[in-house]
Amino acid sequence: MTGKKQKLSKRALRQNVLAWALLSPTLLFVALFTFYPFVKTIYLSFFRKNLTSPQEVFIGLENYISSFQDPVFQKVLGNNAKFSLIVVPSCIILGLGLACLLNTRHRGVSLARAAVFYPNISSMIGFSLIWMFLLTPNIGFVSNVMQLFRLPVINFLGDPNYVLYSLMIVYIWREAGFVMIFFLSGMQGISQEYYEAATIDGAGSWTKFFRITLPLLMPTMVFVLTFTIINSVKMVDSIIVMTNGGPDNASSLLMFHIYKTAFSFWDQGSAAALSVIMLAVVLAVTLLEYYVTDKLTYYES
Amino acid sequence: MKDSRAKSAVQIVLLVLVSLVWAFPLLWAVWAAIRPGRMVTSFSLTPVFSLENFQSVFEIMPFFQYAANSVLFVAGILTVQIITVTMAAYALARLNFRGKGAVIPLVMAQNIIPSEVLLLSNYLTLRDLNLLNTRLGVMVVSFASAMGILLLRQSYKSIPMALEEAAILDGCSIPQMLRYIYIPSCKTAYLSFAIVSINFHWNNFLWPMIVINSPEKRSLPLGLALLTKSSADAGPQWAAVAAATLLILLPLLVIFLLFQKQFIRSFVTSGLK
Repeated sequence: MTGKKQKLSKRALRQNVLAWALLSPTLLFVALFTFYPFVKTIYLSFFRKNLTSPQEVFIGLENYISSFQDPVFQKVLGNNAKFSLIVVPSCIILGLGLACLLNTRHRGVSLARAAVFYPNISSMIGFSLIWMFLLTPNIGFVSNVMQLFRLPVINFLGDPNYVLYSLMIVYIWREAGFVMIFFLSGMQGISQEYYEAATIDGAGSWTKFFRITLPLLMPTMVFVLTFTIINSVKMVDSIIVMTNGGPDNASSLLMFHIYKTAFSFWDQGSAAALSVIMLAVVLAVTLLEYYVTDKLTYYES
Repeated sequence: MKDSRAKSAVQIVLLVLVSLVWAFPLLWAVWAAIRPGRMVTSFSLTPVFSLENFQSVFEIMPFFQYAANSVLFVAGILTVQIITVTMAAYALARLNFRGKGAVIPLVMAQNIIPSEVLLLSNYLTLRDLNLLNTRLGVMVVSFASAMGILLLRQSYKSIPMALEEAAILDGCSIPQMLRYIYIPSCKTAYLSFAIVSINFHWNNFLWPMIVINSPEKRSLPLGLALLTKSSADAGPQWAAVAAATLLILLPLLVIFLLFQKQFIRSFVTSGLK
């Protein structure tokens, strides 16, 4: 009896050792490159550490206060709010529309799907450069077409009134195809019986869309909404290549501002505080997602 | 009947239009790349073709050197990820141990905290470890993958326990079991994970840019971005940029066109790109 018990606990011990050994590489890397930098970022945000003051000096909340008082950061927040408010609904509506359009069995539909999705497997650097050229005044394609219609020449990337909208177009061009695949897979999971029953009841396409498709896509919608919002504050590659935040910070968004503060101005304390602000935004959106998903599953059951 | 046919026609027209609008930058890149470089800025449709732009890509940048670095980054990261992810997924799917309930959310935190937020701190860590401007430094931050663990744990759980018990009776060790039962049975999950990982790291830009200083260690996107900055006096060679962009896209495009359904499913199941 005691022998068996001892044997069991020996087995349990072996399982414990084995499990932790198997997990150790993952835990090591996660600790080193997720948890440690997470704590370090928060820690650094309370210190002054920049080129003029290379030694860490504790300054409490000053990095946060001076960030919010900084007119450039205020502008960046405004830019990003405007960017997200336009880009997120556009991607959702376009993604949903594209998914409806592609949710058929026409020949060539897979080619169309590839045509919409390929930006997501492309180097954003390469295509940002291509967009940059397409949008160049006088010699770019867009400019040429506008001249054909005798429209005035617009410096899309050099004019502070247009630059943010130009970046939005590039962003939506990339992200809508990504959003589309989630809605498409959601739609393909909806049972045909609902639609057949609705047809018998004489429902039209629009009624079916708003009464069946859209409500049943709600979980997908919540998920997609979350990642499009988060991605819209992480947008940085195209800005580095196309505008470098300019002119006059008109195209500077949150992540780009952090990158500049950290690696151009080497103001580590401020960059850390800005990172914590960005993290707070991301976590707030993620928590909201969990809350809403919870509610949705509650109503479903 | 007539009504549905009209609807179908409208749908086809819309499909073609949408595809053309989205594919336009790609079509333009192809058009610009296969014509003489000087014609890129003129708005003409004269059918003159040339491969000189591809040639100039190899002249103005060490394309193969960059490509070798990119392949190394992608392959190095994926290899280590598959090892760490397999080990962790097995422990979380099959073993009972103390603290299991705490490990899962700890690992998941990696999914929730965006790496962008940790950019500065990870840079400082790399400096302390003397890994700045090294290829290992580019790769090491991606060696663990919560997304991969989630994906594989799910598919490990669907393997019948009886199979494992039989293997243990036959004297199979755990590495053998992983090698001969778990990995082959979960090929689809591994493929999904590989696709997402390869796509991400092949095109990744921000982190390599911060870590790498020496020209000979640059990846393709990095080389391409710096190419246009360095040639500012002459103006970027747009046609060459288009050709280089196509060359970078080509390997992934081929995989995508071959495994389109699997490819798209990978992104949907992982929720990442």
